[in-house]
Amino acid sequence: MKSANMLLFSRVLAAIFGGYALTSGVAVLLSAVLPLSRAEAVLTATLSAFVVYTCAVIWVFAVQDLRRAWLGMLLPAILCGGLGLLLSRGAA
Amino acid sequence: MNAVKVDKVVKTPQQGGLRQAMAWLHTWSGLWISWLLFAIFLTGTLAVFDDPIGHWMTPEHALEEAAHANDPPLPKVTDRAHRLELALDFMAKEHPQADMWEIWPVQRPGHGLSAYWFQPSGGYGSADLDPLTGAVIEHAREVTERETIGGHHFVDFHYELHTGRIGVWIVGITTMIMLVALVSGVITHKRIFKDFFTFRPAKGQRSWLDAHNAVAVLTLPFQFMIAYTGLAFFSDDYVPAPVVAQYGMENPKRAFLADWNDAGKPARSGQPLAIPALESFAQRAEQAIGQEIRAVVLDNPNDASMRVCMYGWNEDTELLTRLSANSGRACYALATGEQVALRLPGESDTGGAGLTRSVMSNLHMVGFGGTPMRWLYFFCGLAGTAMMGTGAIMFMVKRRQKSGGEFGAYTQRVYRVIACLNVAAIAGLSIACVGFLWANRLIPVGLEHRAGWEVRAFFGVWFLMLVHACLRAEKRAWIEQLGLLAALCLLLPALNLLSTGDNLVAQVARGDWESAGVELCSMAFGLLAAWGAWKVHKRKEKPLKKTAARENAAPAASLQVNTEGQS
Repeated sequence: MKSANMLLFSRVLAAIFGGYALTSGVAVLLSAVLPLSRAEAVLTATLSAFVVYTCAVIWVFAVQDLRRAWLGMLLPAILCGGLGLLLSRGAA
Repeated sequence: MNAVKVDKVVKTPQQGGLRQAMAWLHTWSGLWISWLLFAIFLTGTLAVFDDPIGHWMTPEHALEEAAHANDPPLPKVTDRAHRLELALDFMAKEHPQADMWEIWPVQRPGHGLSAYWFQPSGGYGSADLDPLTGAVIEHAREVTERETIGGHHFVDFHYELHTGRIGVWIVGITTMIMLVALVSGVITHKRIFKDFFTFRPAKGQRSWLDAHNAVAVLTLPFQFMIAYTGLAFFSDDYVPAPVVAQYGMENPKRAFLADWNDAGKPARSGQPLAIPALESFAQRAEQAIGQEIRAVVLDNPNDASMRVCMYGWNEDTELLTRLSANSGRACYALATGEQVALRLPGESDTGGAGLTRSVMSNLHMVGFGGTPMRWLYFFCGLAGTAMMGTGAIMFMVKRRQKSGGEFGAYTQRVYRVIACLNVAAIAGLSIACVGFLWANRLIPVGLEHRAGWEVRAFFGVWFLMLVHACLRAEKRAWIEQLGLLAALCLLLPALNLLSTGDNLVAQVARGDWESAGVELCSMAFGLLAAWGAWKVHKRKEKPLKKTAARENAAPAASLQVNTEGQS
């Protein structure tokens, strides 16, 4: 019972913080690669972020293996965020 | 007991399949936010009519307006050129250092002449000017008029809970969880349309479930729209990563906003240039955008880089056919007289994303479609409020019949807290809302910081209701609070009659449908609350035997029931 609670807690953390990391990563990548002006690209990225976040949370709770849930959040978050930062314009 | 058995077989909701996992997510994400979301939805629904509520809350103003209702309309002001000069003189004399001057030479009756500016030290200054002489008008508060924030209270509470940035974040997080609850609710419901046409009244838990499904499915597109567009207002605050990535670590938000609002703003050249008469530019702009001029914004005054932007008025009729509330805008470089920027009404300065956000915010604030659309929003908002309320109540109804044992030894105590919060969040908040209107009439007119006391009364009443809900048995608490709500709502017209002498008949006779509407709606809510109190009073506790018998007969079905019931 104890470990079931810890597993659940970990899954909730994956949804909230892992999901937010993934959302931010995808948003950074979008803002870097969208063929729009800087302000427009950034706004598009922030406006579409809530779709990404919602889908991420749903997926974390749908998938069975908890390790897969964490990896599924953090790996793409790091990949998208890193790639986005490399491609960013203007950032000092 | 059954729950424990199920627990052993199915360790996590995920192992019970997608629908089981989503039902769990929907139940628990929904429960923890349902109280706050109920408050956000109810106040948001009332905020749709913040103007009429504000009108009712300023009876002195409303009565004076009524006294002049039959006067001939004031003629349109035609001396805009003169007014612009007066305001420019004022700014040149009082605030020459400001690098942005904004003038509202309003030509409509009832509006005056105003000037706004960015102070060199930061911040926004403003002054109202006499349209004939240009002298500053000092606003002394009239002691005969009650000071109130009116219906805006509901707007402020709705998006920031009266706590500023923290409130914006709390509301944002709650809304985000609502999106998750909506999606998981839809996945849980595979028979979504069949369920919509199913209503089994007076069947306890089934009826609550049916009601929850009906209001949710009926208004699902509205709920998605209102949640998403609500998040859009502060999207760059909630997800700042792309802003920081593209604008750097140092004050990225300001740089982003500058890119956003001040597209094409000229840099100061250092060469002097006298300010020309602006009326001819106002007329050119009116030609270009097809709207009457509302505001005149002058950048870098007295510098060769000086630019003037003319903003138009949105007419009410335009917003019946247009979703974007952006008005027209035309800008001129004053050194050459050239038109440097043009935005037609409804368009965006920057492009598709800007237009999207502008349309989203207008969709959220129902800035289009006029009064019929406001009523549609009002009823959809009420349906959303009912969705939160029925969801929260259903959680307890289910568990009163059969404990889920989710919190081990603490289960009963946690249920008790949830039951308290249900009463205080649903009946208690409703009482606080109508209590706010009562406070408006009961707090003395001349009291210092009166507007603040009205808001304090709102929170005070809400807190008292929470205490009451915790002290009384659950059923008694429901009956007493719903009864109080009914009394306060039904007696609101009597309170108005006793405090101001105004009454429904007189309101209707003089065509004041805003005041009459507030009181009629209040009475409708009162009847609804009275019916609710009566229903709770009549309710008999379900004989426990029957429930137990059903469980014993079909233990294997309990998982199935769980899946269905948790929607």
